[in-house]
Amino acid sequence: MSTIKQTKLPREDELTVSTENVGGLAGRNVFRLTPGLNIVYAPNAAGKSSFIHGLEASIMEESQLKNHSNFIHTFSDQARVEIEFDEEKSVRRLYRSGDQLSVGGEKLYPEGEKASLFCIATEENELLDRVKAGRPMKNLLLRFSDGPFYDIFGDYLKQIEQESREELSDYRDDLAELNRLNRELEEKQEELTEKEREREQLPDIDEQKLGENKELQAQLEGLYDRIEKREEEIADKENEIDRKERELASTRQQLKKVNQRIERFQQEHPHVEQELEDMLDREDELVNEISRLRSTHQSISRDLESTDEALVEIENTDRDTCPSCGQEITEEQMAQRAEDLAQQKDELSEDIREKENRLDEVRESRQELETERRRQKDQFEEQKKSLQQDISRLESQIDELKDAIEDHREEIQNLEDNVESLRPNIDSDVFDLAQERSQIDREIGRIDSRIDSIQQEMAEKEGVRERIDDLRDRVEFYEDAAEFMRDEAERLRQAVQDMFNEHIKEVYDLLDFDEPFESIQLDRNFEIKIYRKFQGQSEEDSINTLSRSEKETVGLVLMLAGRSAYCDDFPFFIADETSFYDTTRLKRVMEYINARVPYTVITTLASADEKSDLSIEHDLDAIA
Amino acid sequence: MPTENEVYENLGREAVRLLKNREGRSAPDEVRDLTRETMSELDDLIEQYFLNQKGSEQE
Repeated sequence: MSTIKQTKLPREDELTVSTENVGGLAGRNVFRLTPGLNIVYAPNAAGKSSFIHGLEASIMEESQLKNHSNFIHTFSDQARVEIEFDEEKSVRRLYRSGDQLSVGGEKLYPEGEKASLFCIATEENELLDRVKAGRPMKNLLLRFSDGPFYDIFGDYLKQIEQESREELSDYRDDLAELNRLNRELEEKQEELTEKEREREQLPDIDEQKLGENKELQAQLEGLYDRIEKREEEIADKENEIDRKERELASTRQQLKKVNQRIERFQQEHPHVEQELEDMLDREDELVNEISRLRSTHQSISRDLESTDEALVEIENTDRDTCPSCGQEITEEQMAQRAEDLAQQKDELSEDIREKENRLDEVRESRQELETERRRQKDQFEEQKKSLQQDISRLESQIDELKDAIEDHREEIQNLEDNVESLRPNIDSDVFDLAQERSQIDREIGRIDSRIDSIQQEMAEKEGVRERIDDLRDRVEFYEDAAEFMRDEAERLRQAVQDMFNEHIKEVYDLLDFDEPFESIQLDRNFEIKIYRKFQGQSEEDSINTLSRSEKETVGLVLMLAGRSAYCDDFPFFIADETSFYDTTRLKRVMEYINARVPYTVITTLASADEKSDLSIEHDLDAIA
Repeated sequence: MPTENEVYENLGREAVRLLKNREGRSAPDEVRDLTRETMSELDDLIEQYFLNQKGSEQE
């Protein structure tokens, strides 16, 4: 087996095309093509189009052939096309699979889609169809360009750029909080300096008087210590509440994001379900195809078995009749039949193996997708549950801290009442001074504690600036890359447009038609524009104003431009049913093609009076 | 060190190859809805190019 690009197809030798149950051509038929023009000449229903279908079957991609169940003869479930050249052989096998076809063997040319679009002019050719119907050409002519893929990638980059911008905005909120903490830290440090100065400026306490009030003072100081301790605890708890509330806000934010992810995941659900369903459908199709191939395999095995038995009987009896049906048959013919059946059986086994491998691949992909989806769902649910538990724990901790603060405040109030009851018994100046000093010490303690807490919070947000810088770099990278991809897509679109216009001009000039239009061009949107000469001026016109015959010519010019741009090494140009072409134009086109393509195959209609079967001729003038 | 344009050229070329291979068809109209697998591979590719370029700038 080989394809044209892998071997050197002789361009000056005969090719043998053998068809077996292709279209309307029942059984095995052998045709010889010579370099140059091959005119498949026959009356209606003699198999001209079926012969073309045979050539198409050896060239087209499997996906293109799928819906062509008419390529197999009505009374058969399989067909076969062999092309022999230079002691090499290319074989393509077609099997009926419900309303569709499945395919075995190898295609003759690696880029079957391009070859069939630009080198096989049949009623079903999409390019000709669009020209005739005046439909848009853009997607069709850009199909083989990378431009649209650059567009898709550019759109994807734009999408992730947008997501990064949103993330950047979240981090900017954190940065604002960091700046606020910085300002508060400066204020607290100034406040601390001020309080320390105040404390230094207090007069010394009269220690003698203080000694007199020692016992009372000791009691008071004990009370002050307890008050101070409680106030410090309150400050610690308030700081703790601040921290917990921030943690709570951040956890709620995370929960919101997880909920959004779950929502996106659920929105994606129908798309993934569709993907899974498509895979299951493909699996079913393959299972059915395999089952049909196996059934054909069994039937061939049975035929082979009975043929072998019949062969042994013929050998033993030395008679030239089939022991099963009684028809005349020689031993050699029976042996050939057995050999053909054995070959068909081997080929079927090979095709079954290939389909089974494909089924395994599809199954594996589907199972991977299902597992991945289940894993993601479980992960989201687990994250959500854990965040909800965190929120509930934090809320309860905050409530407990608030209750503890309330208890401490009540205790302080009682301690201060005790202080008030002791105060009249001691020297008020000494007492006031001691109390003022103690008050300043407590305030210094509180400010110190707040400074510690601010510094801790700032340390927690230490990575924010780096993350913002990183996100800024990313946004810039995505934005520039997206712009590059869009420019590249546009450049490639322009290149395809220029390439087509260049080849159209070349083909059109070489054909040298005496047409009412002077040139054909594709505009930016790949719409065909016709330029007519009117009173010495060039006027633009749409394809829809042309006659059917003129449209056919424009279609052929576009095909030949595509052939020379995309697949000029493909050695065939095939046109089915050329009888409705204008004879002068057809001759000009054939001369052009003949000079460039090794094998030209066209079909043309003969009247039933002059011919009853199909033949391959080579002289267009004789037929015309 | 490759220029910024060369970095985008290489990134684009690899992404287009990946899109063609992953989606397995030549008609780009049909690959607008990318599968998650393809998106994940594109993300890896973009990340690799972004980090390379950042590394080169820092050097």
